Amino acid sequence: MASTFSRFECIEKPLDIAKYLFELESNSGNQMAVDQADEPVDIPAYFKTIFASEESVNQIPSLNDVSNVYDIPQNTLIRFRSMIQNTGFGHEVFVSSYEIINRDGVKQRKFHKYSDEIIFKDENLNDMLECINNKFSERQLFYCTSVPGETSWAKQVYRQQNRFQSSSETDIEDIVISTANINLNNEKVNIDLKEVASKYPFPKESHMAAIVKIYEKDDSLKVTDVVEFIGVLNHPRKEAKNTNELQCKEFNVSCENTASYCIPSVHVIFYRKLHPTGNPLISSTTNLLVSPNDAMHIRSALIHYIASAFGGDDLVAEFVLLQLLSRIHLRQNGLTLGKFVLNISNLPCNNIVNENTQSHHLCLEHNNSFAKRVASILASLLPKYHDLPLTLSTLNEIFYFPHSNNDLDSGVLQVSQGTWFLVDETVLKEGKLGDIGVRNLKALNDIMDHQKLNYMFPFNNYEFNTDIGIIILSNAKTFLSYDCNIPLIQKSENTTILDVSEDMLNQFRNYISILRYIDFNIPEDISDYIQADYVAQRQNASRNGTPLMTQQDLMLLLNLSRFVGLSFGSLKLTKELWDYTKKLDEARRHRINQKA
Amino acid sequence: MTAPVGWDKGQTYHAGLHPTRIEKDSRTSLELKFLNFLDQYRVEELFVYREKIKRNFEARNYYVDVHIEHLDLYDRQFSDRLKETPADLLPLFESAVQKFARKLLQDVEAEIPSFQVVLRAPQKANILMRELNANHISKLIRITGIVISATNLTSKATHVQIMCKTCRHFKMLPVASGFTGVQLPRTCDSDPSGVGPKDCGLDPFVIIHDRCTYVDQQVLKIQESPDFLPVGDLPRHITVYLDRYLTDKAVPGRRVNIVGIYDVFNNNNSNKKKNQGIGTRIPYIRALGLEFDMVQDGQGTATFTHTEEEEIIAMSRRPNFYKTFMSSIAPSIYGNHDIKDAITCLLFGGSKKILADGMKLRGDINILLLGDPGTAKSQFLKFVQQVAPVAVYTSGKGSSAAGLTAAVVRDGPSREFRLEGGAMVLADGGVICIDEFDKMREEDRVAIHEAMEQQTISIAKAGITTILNSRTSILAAANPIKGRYDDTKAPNENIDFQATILSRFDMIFIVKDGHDEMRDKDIARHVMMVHMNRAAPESSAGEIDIAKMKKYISYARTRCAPRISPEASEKLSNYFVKIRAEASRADQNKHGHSSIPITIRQLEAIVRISESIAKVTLSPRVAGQHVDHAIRLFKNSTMSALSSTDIPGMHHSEARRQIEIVEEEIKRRIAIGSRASTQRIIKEFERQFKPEVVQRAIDILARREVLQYRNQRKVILRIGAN
Repeated sequence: MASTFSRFECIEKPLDIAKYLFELESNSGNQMAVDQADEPVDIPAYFKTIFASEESVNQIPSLNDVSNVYDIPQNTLIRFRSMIQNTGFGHEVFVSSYEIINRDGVKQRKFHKYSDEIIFKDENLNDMLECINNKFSERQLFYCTSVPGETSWAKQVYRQQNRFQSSSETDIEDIVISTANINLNNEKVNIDLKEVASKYPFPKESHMAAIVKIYEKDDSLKVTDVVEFIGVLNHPRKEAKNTNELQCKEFNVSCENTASYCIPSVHVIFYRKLHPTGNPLISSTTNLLVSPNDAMHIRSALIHYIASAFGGDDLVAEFVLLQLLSRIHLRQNGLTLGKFVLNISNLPCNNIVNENTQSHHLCLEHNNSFAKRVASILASLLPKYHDLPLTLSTLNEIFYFPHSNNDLDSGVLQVSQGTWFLVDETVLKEGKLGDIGVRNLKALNDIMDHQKLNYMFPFNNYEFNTDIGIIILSNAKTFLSYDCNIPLIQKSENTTILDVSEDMLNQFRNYISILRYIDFNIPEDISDYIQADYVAQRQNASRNGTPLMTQQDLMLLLNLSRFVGLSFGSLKLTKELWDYTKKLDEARRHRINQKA
Repeated sequence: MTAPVGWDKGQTYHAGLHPTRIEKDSRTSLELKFLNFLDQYRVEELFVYREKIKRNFEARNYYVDVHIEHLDLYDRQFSDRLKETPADLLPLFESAVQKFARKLLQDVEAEIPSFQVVLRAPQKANILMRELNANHISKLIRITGIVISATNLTSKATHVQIMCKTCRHFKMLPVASGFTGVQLPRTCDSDPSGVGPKDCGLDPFVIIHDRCTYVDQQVLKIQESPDFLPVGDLPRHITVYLDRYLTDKAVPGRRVNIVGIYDVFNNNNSNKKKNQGIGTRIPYIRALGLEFDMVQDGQGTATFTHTEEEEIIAMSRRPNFYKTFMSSIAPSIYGNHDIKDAITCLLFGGSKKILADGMKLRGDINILLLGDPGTAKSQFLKFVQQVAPVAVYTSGKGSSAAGLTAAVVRDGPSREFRLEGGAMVLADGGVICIDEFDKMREEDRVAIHEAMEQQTISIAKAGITTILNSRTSILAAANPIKGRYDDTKAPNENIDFQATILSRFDMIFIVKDGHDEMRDKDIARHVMMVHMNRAAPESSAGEIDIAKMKKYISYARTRCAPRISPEASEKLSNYFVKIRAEASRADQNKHGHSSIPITIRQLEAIVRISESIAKVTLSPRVAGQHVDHAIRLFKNSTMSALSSTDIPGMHHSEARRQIEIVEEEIKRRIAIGSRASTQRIIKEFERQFKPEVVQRAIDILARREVLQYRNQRKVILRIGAN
């Protein structure tokens, strides 16, 4: 039976196949099996075998690559690469199967899964009233959005892998109609669309969103996880608003209003968690190692590339590279190891490219030409990146943290792990912070201090661990909390970014993604060496009356040495790496003292 | 003894072995069963339900609350049946109550109205909101949650009077409770002449609103309570439908336990869209009972499940638990045992006392960490912020008194005033961590005096006067004057705080960063161990993770209030007498160099510390050893921090004599209200007196509020005569 359907059929009419598999089993007289098990056949397993290879999965049309949901017909098998935004909907009770008695009085059990609606195709309407013996079951509902901050090269790579071509050849950067580019200030905009927009971390940005319905009980999916769901597409219900709205008004509280969103829903048959790097160039088959030789080579090229955004400052570029390799590798009793917020200070004074900030003031997009350059470098290297200019108006008006009054609305910082932000403090001016502004700053500082984000619910806050990379640009030392500060010294006024071939960029991208996830060790003998070094330093300092090296300094150095080691492709710390780290840090300290 | 009685009635009872065979499923027999229960159930000598119905009738509260547990004891099978099919049995129960009331209140003339049955279920029947599934539909359940919104009361018809437009035929339709509506019959079925239905046309009925009967209804939305939320999951919501006596009781923010029927309603009730939507139902709860969780003290009241409670108690009995707990405090920081000890005390807190005259004595412990930069003070604060059940972290730099206490804020668009709690109000029932306490402006620091001692904050602004609670512990960190601790100076010269504020800290620690080879080595090893992800040798005793600590602390804080044993009180009074005597001797000798006088406040502090130490092991009594521990801690902190050191190369009495001379001289030279530069004064006396002596004299005068420092102690201002 397993080979009766082609892959193509599975994509075109997954529901028919699921129904067929179900009814084949349940009406074969094996009544016992039907009664006992809710589902006599393992439909997900069947689909999984059909789509076992990467190649075959790539044939399934992806919601991420269409500009209009209606380009894909209703009840097609689709993929959706997305971030889970809200798991709090709970579940929905549905009829999983029902029995109908046709005119001849023959009972027939009908299958009803992976769909929002029952379609009585061949049956007479009178039969419908004879629906008896309904079996209820529940499915979990998640609100999912396309991965926030996915950079254009990453999208491009995913799209190239896609074997399915959308019927209308529209530019992907165009917007999905249902979640159109929404001007939140426009009164005329449909309330529904506003609601959809408020559930994406970045305001006014086009994205795809869907209600994902999961049939198997599964507690492993958490909020902000990035998952590729494979399931049956249901188009948004255009007319769904009316009745529900009425009821809501009547009771003044919305009674579970997922159905009222005008976004598609995906009935999941199975799903795959994506590699946490989010780098599409890396698949399960990629070699997850970088040889020290390659590393050395790529490293210097990469520093040179990054330095072109910093006026040729190699030291800053090296610190940026180290920052890109940072990852939270241990959380233990309130300690977050691997956290490395980098502050680059002493930036040249503001030259804003776009003076008509009025129209742009609510957009999270850098206006500062310097920040723009750095951003373009970061976006070309990282799979997930977003600008974060720290202006008073964005601070006061855009929520940084997820918050809920009724439904969970997103905030800028609700992104998946491994997303980077470039915070531009140079655009900040003196002024008044409102309530939201104060809370936003607190949320930002919480991320920088503990890599934790508070989700605000009525009467309670819930804390979630994050792993968000942050680089802060500022004129003077930043007022946000940071782990490491380095003043910029530009060597040239050259503002053009180095032109690097796509092939080289891909090497850079893989270098960062792979090394970031490698385990790094500190051998025992090096540990002893470092301890002796620390004691000796303090001894010298106390003799010379210079400031003592503190426990914190040691922690920072250890963190740095890890990134330095990784950047050279090494799996463990060596004496040379430690001494190199110290030299690097001394150069940084020297700059700070020079400034002072 | 609680057991069903009623043998005297001379009735026979079935054991119910074969429930299907015995005819007891009929409505009347079920109703009879309820009747018997109401009539005969008694707790000890009291027929509870007879009493309840009588009392509620007299008070015109037409409801009766029934404990499911009672029904369990009365007839297990029957109550199980109620739990399985509550929607079927409850109407029978309610009519049984009405009948029973009629019987009970025979002498009452008035008509007996129908009673509402309100159910109560025990805690153990609780189901987690996220565990509700299709199997629970139409069963009786009990869940806990926080009300996040409540609608206004609306009326719902229980019976609808309809009339046929054509033949004026009236008809009464019952309406099921919950979200279900009523469907009007499409054709008129009146048959007055008995000749068969006549044709009144399609859809002839209209509703006569003023002849319908109505009840109050309300809809709540409740959110899963945080204690039961799995880590990394978002809370879920569910809609709750209430009617009659249950309405208008819950306000948003309250924790409620709801007993009710898990039900579903069809969201898509537009009949026009056929062929669609019958597939999904939206779950909600039809409440049959509503209880509030115990009175809340501050925020963060947590409830504990049975297993959690057992685990916590088992933890408290572990040998050496205090030590284990202490070493789990900020494990990334090496050493500093006394501070970790003190922070343990702060997290647990002493017992709050309310005296007979209504005076309240705080139980919260305040700690000040004073020391060199880079000595991990901030890490302690940040750790406490994470582990305390309620905590707010703030920096003294840039926070004003209003920001810490409370402020009146005008709302943007509505122009309405509202009270905004500052950090201290927000941390009510928890800890507030203030970093850079020394950077706060003097007047702002004074403003939190009230909060520290009275545990309240008063606001009088823009026509609003109010008192807000701020029952918080304060953990403050500050740098010494001039940034670094100067060993050559007396402690009080290193601390730039008034005695009034210092005395409100139960423990003061001075943290110095000195070079010490052994210690440096240990620190380095400790840091390396953390980074290599290996347990540090000193903490191998088994660390407790933060989530567990948090739970443990909130348990101890809510459930445990140790009392002082006689032995402990003896020890306390002896100690107090002793240090008072020492202090007064020191005063005589050295002219009172202690920055804070030893008063009853310090005794209270030691009491609090001992209580908190007892609380860590959930001990109900403060024993002698707890007091010893507390005294040791107090000595190592406040006493050692504030004991004065001698001026080098000078005898006590000589120094004292000289200081007195300088004092008199300064008073003579500076008139009240005038200023002088500190440096200049020291220079002027230089020939006769050592600078230390002059400095100390100025300090003493400043403490007596004869002088006042200005401009970071560069200038002094004479403000008092003596």
